[in-house]
Amino acid sequence: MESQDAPGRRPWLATLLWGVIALAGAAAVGGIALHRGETINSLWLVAAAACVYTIAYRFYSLFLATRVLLLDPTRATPAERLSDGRDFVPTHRWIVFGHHFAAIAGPGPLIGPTLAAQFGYLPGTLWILIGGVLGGCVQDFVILFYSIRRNGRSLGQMAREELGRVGGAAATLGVMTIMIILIAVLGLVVVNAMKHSPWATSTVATTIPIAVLVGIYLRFLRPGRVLEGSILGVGLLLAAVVGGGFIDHHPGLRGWFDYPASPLALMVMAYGFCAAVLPVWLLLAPRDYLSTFMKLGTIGALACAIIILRPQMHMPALTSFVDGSGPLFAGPLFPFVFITIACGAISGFHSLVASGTTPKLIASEGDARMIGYGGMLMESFVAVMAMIAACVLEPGVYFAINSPPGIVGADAASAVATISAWGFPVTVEQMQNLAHEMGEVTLFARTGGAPSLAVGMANIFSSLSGGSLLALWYHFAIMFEALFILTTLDAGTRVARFMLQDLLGTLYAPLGRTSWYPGVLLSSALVVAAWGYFLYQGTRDPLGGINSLWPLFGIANQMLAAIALCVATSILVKQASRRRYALVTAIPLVWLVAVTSSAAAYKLLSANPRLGFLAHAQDLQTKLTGGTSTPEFALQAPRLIFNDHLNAAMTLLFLVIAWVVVFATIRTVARALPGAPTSSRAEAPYVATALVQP
Amino acid sequence: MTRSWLRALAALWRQLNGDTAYADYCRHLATQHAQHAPLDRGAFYQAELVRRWNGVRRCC
Repeated sequence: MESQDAPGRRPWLATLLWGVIALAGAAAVGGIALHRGETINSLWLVAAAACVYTIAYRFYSLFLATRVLLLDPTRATPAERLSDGRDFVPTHRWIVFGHHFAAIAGPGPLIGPTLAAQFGYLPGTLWILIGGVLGGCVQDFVILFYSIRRNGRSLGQMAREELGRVGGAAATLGVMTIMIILIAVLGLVVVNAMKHSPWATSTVATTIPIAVLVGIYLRFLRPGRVLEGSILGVGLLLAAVVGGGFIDHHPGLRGWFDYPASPLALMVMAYGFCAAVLPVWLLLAPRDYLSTFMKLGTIGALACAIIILRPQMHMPALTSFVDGSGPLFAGPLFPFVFITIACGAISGFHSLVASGTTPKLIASEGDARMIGYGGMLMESFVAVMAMIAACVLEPGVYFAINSPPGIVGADAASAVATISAWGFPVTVEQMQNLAHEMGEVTLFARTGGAPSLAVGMANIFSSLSGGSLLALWYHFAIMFEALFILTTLDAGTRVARFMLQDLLGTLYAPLGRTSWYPGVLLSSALVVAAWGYFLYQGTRDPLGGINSLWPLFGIANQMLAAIALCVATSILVKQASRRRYALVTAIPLVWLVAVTSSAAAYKLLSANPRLGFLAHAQDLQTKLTGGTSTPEFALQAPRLIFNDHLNAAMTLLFLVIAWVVVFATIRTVARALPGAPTSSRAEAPYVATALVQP
Repeated sequence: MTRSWLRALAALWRQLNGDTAYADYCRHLATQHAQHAPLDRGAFYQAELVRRWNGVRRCC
């Protein structure tokens, strides 16, 4: 391995260096944990993250590589053995790293930490660091490695092979439901950023024709010249941000792009349907190229800006909302901070990518450490930056942007009064000035995390340009977030469509054919209707929708991670010589099962109407039958009650899926323990590599 | 020294973008399956997109 000390080097120097890094890391983590001043410099978080990640990569990932997994660079990978020039292609490690990182880093690590900042900066940051190095990175690395050893098998296939048919079926069902909830909640985030904002709406709308233009360029004008097409597209996107400002200031054009949330939700649904049925080259692929360039560029720029500017963070380390009374989402610190921040700490979705395209490209097993473990460390750092951007805001402003009207009141005066009474002073003028600076009419109740992240990013970026151009930076940040949220929405709808077609194909064969157009239309419509229902209801929920949808998404995502860790643990247990190392996946697994189960129990059983779905339904029912309701409420309540029951049913489904897989794992482990075979039967036999290592 | 370094970096960048995919494909076909005629650039791009977007490509 590259990082083992070669004989002849001076080992004391290395020991000294790592000792210094360890001390600096301990000091930084201790500093952010114990600091209780008015503000804290973001450099503390960056330093803590840098030291923790460096040490984790150098020591823990090396331990995983050389003791637990036994990476063998002499062993030919599927990319080499099965090389077909298409799916299986031995690829340079930095190229695979780039593709893998671009695939795993979506909007999740930006939004989760922004929402979790309601507990203060400390709980979320510690969970990102600890959960990342001991949980998420391990999951990604281990699943990637086992998929390599199994000819690039997917998570679902591995679950079937290792845990039996029930485990496999539960895993597949889990993937499909998580996709639906994920798309709904991301759609809601975009809708909340665009509602009554002609600038944001027109900019986001313009990204669609730009993507189509780039698609035509790449298909007909200059086939496959991705870099050229993307440069052209990115230029047009930047022009769209400026053009949105023009539309916003134009009294005639403004009205064309000024919509409340519900119609915007319908538009997003129509868009999602089109994106799923149109050919990939026209919309999906070019949008993905643009969003990847934009994402990597902006994240890189944000990292540079934070390191150069070292902004002060105003959020306290802990807020009073750790008791569960938070306005963004209800629920106490445990388990909800671990549910809210999924991507960035541990995200089950990654196991799909780590057992999808990536294992088919890796040229040497030795690269799996850098790509699996290292890729997730990068994403974890993105989450730390999002936490910084959220905490740079004055807490009063942060809560004014993110609190739904159902909690703080519908008008500005009552909102600022409520928030100031929590101990986070904010005034109506302050919010008006901020909205004006950002080129918006109002920033109150823009729930979902994207707008407050955009305000934070605009503050950071505009410091680079001397404090000017805030409105442009704000809408740039909104465009950047919307761009890749919509990419996830397109791609997710498409994948869910394929899964559904697979399923429907067993009922009626032609429906399974991806080329039969009526089948494509029907399955796309069903998928869009499924997520669209949750999205639309989210826009009409007085508590803001995010309050119920984001925890559902978090539970689903962590459940998927638990499934991935179940697969990994049972593979490790089946190998007698490495059985004791099963703890590296078993410990995060036990933690995740505890977190998802207790969060699900809260959402199902809590007597607090803001937290428990059933308690909320009961509360509405009481008001409805009590006779004190207005006619409007009487009209709306049955729908809200139905939604509560639906959300409760989804939570229960996730809980059942997770426990089915856990029981399948316990059974597998129990069977494997006495006189187990030395290796999992599914592993492909050893073939020596013929590739010259780069 | 610097120039070869820069050239390697530029090659990596082009490969990362997918700009070299067609040339790589032609080379693979010529060395491994010489009996098959390669697709033209446009058809190859189209076939690649359809193949790539058949699975989970993007995360949350």
